[in-house]
Amino acid sequence: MLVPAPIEGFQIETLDGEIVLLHPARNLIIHSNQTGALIWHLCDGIRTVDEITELLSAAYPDARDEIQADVPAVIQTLISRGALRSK
Amino acid sequence: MKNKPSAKISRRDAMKVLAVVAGAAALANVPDKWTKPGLDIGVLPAHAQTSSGYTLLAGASDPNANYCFNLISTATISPAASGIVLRYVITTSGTVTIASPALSGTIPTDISGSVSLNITVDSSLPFDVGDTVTVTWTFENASDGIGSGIQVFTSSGNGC
Repeated sequence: MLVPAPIEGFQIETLDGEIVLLHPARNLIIHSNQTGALIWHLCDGIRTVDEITELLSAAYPDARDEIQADVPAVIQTLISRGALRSK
Repeated sequence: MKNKPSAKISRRDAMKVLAVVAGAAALANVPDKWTKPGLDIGVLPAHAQTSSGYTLLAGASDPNANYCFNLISTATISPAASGIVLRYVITTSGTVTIASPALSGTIPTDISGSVSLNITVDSSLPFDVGDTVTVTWTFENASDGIGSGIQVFTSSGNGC
């Protein structure tokens, strides 16, 4: 069961719900819209991907199908780019 | 793969959780509708980069380690950041033998960018004059920085 967790060392700037993540040591910058930011914030090293998907699906029931596809894809991208790690 | 059954979450409760995780301006940061998550990932512009990541500095070596059974090795990274994992390797010369911790391991930096390693010497094989305990610190993840820090404790006698 994949439990995504944040990578330490990111500087987080929030503007109108969107976030910019800066990791100077890794020369990495990530800009995300509000929904991407929500997913990143929910990756706390405790919730599984399924739990995050379920939570967002409950918050946005009309978009359940999209969320089922979007959440794992975003998390995999963030892991592959070094913005999250898998516990 | 089947998802495990989970308790149903009400929309109200789910929105509460999202409001909490979204931060200080919570409600403003939670969108009304789901939109496709957008991510732009890139590298920092040159003026914002730190060319080699963090810099590692071990604590000062002690040429007069008149200790009994306990040493404390330290290291810090700059700029300070928490959660950067440092690896230590302990080596010895002479008769002094380490009881704990393991001779190699990892420790994450604390919020001040520091780590501290308590080293206990085997009471039956303590320091003798000229014995050394050397602690070498390196980044566990090479992308966090380069270089290493070495702290050497050289015994001038048994301080017990």
